[in-house]
Amino acid sequence: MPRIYLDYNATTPLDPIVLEEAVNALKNFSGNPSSVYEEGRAARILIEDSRDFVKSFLDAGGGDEVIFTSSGSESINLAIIGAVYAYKRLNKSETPHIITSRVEHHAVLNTFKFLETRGVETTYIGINEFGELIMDDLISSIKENTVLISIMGANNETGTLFPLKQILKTVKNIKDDILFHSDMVQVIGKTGFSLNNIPLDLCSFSGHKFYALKGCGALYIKKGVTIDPVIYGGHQERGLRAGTENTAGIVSIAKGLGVFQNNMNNELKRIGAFGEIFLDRLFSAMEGIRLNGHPVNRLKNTINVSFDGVRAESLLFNLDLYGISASAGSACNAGAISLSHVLKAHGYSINRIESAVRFSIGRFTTMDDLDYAISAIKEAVLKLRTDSA
Amino acid sequence: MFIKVKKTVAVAMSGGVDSSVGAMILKERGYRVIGVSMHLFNAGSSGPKTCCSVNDILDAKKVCVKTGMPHFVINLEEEFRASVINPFVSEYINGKTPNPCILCNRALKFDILLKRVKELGAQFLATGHYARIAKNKNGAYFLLKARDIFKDQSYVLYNLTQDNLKNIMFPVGNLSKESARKIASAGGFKQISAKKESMEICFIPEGNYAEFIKKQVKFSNNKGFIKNLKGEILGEHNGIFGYTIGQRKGLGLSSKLPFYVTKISADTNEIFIGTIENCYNNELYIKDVNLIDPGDKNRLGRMDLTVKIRYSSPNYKCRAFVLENDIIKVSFEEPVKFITPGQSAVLYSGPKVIGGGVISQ
Repeated sequence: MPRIYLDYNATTPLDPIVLEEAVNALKNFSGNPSSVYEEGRAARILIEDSRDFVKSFLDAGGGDEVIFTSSGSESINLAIIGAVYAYKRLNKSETPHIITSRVEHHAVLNTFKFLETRGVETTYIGINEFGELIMDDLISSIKENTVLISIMGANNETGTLFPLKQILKTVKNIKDDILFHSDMVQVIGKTGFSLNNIPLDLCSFSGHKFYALKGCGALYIKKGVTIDPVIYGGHQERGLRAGTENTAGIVSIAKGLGVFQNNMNNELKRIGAFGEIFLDRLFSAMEGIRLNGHPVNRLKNTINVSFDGVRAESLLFNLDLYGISASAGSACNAGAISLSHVLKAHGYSINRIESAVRFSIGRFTTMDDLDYAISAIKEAVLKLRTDSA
Repeated sequence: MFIKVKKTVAVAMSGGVDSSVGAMILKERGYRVIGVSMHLFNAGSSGPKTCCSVNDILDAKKVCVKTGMPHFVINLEEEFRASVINPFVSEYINGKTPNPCILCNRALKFDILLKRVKELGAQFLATGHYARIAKNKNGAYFLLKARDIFKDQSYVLYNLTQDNLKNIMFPVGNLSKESARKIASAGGFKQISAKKESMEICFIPEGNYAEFIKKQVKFSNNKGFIKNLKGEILGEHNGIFGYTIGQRKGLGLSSKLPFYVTKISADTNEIFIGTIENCYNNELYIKDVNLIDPGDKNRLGRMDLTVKIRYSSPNYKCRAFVLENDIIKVSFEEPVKFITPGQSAVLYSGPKVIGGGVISQ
C-alpha cells in the first residue's frame, strides 16, 4: 500500500541532495578528523567547512561557536547541564535557578528534572489556552540566582510559535547575565531564523527535522558564554563534546540547511498554502473538530486537531491501516501513546486531549496526498463515531 | 470463482511464545492479522521479566514486522489500575486472596480491548490462551479445556459470555506447548520460542505481594494477632495482606506440629491458624457468578460436575446448587483443603467449562 507521510515534525525523509553529499562523505572522507595525515586533514576540513556554513546560515558572529552533537536532545542536555555545571564550578556557594515552560519537549523537561536531583532550583512557566507563554509569570519568577532560561521556538506538538525576540528582550532587560537557551529543533531548517533578529545565547537543533541524517544535532554557543562538557574524552568539538566526529552527519546538517536556504521562499509559501488548504478541507469535511494551539502564530505545516468523540489512539491506528502516518501525544519506547503534557498545559478537557491528532506536512507532501488523507480521515472519524455511538 | 474477503483478527500479543504463535497460525490460515499489545503499567518501574516490559512489547513488534502484520500498542494504564490493581489491593486488605488475571481477562482483555480492536476493524480478538471454543448446531458456544491438559488455562476464562465467545479465538488451544515452541522456532523466532513462561503476576514480577500492597496504601499500623482456633494468642502478624489460606511458612511460630493459616479475619485484623485437619471443608460458596450458557442455571443441580478452586488445583468431584441472590453452593464429594476466599471456583462438566465465581467466606 502506498504510504502518505504526514508526520514531518517527528522526522523528515532524507533530501536526495543531502543523501548524495552524505554518501560522498561516507565513501571518500573516512579518515579520523583528528588524524595528522591526509585522510584526517580532508575530513577535518569538510567538518570545518560545514561548521562555517552553519554559522553563516544562523548569522552567527565571529567568536561564536557551533558544536556538533548526536542529536537535538544531546545539544539541549549540553546547553542546560553544561551552563548549570559551569555556573556551579565558578560560583561554588550559590544554588542555581533555571526556568523553562511547561510545554517544552521532554529533552528539556527531563533535563530539568535531572538537575532537580542535583540540587538545582527550577520553575516551569505555564501557557494560556491559546498556547501563549504567561509573560507575567516568567517575569516574576526571575530571581537573583537565575542562571538560565530555556524557551522553545516552536512547539513540536501544536506548532505554536513563541515570540522569542520579545521574550529574550524582556528577560535581558531584567537581568542581562541570564543565559537564554532555545530549543529550536522545530524552527531551524524549517522556517526563517537569524541570530541578528533573535540574539540567543544558546540554541539547539537537529538534522533529521530538515531532511538531513538522524543521529546528528548541533548547539550554537554565543561568544563569551561558558558551558562545561557533559561527555568527557578527547578534545573534539572545542573540548565541549568528546568522541570522533560523525563526518557524514555533520555534512548532512550543512547540506540540509543549504538546500533549505536555496529554496526557502518557495518552500515556505508552498507549505504554508498546503497547510491552510489541509486545515480548511478538514474543517469543511466534518463537524466536531477543533484546532489546538495558537490559531495564528503557528508553524503552518503543523495541524493539531481534536475530533470530538474519537479516541486519537484508535484514529491513528486506523489511519495507519489506510497508509497514513500521523501522531498524537508522546509515545514511549514500547509505542504506547500517553496524554500530551502540551495539550494539558493549555487547560483543555481530557476529551479534547484524548482526541487530538497531529498532522505535519513537509517538502514532499503533495496535493494528492492531502486529498487522499482528508477522505481517509473523514471515513475513519465517521466510522469511529458510529462505533462509539 | 469469487474472491473471499479476508476477515480481520486482532491478536493480543504479550511478546511470549503462545500469542506469537497464535498470530503466525492465523496469518497462515489466511486471516488479515493485526497485532496489539496492551501497555498496562509504567514499564519504567517494572523489571525486564514482566509481561509489560518494553522488551516484551518489542518482541511482539518484531514478530509482527517480520511476518508482515501491523502492530499497535494500546495504552490501558489507567484502565488497568482502576479495574485490576485497585481491586486486587483492596481485596488483599480485606483478607482475601484475589486472582488478578481473572479480573484482567474480564475487565480488560475481553471487554475494553475487545472494543478497541473492533474500532480497528477487527471482527475477532485472538489471545494465546490454552483453551478451546466450540459451537453447537443451535449456535450456542462452549468453552473447553485445552487439548494439552497440563497447559490448560480455561480456569482464568470462566467469565466469558456467549457474546464474547462469538468474537474470540484461541489459536493455540489445540497445540501442546512443545509444538508451539517448534512453530515459533521454525518461523525464525528462536529467542521467543525459548522464552521462559511467566509464573508471577505481571505487575509484581518479584512475587512479593505484601511489599507491593504496602507501597500502594499508606497504613498506620498493620500488626495484629495470630490466634489458634480456640482464640488463644500465639503470635503477631505484620498485616493480614501478607497471608493466604493454607500458608505454612513465615508465620514466625515455633511448634512441632505444622500450622496453617485457616482463616483471615479482616474485621478484627486477626489470622487464625490450625493443623492440617482444620483446613478441610465439605463445601464452598461462590458469588459474582458467570455461567457460559446461562441456561445451565436451571439444570445445575442435576449435573455431575468437577470444580477447580485455584489455577493449579485438580478438578474435585462436586455438585452445585443455585441459592438465592445467584450465590452458588458447591458440595464436594470428599472434603477439600485450603479453600481460599477471593480465589475463583470454576465448575466443569468433563472438559467443558460450565462457569464459575469468586469464593466467598
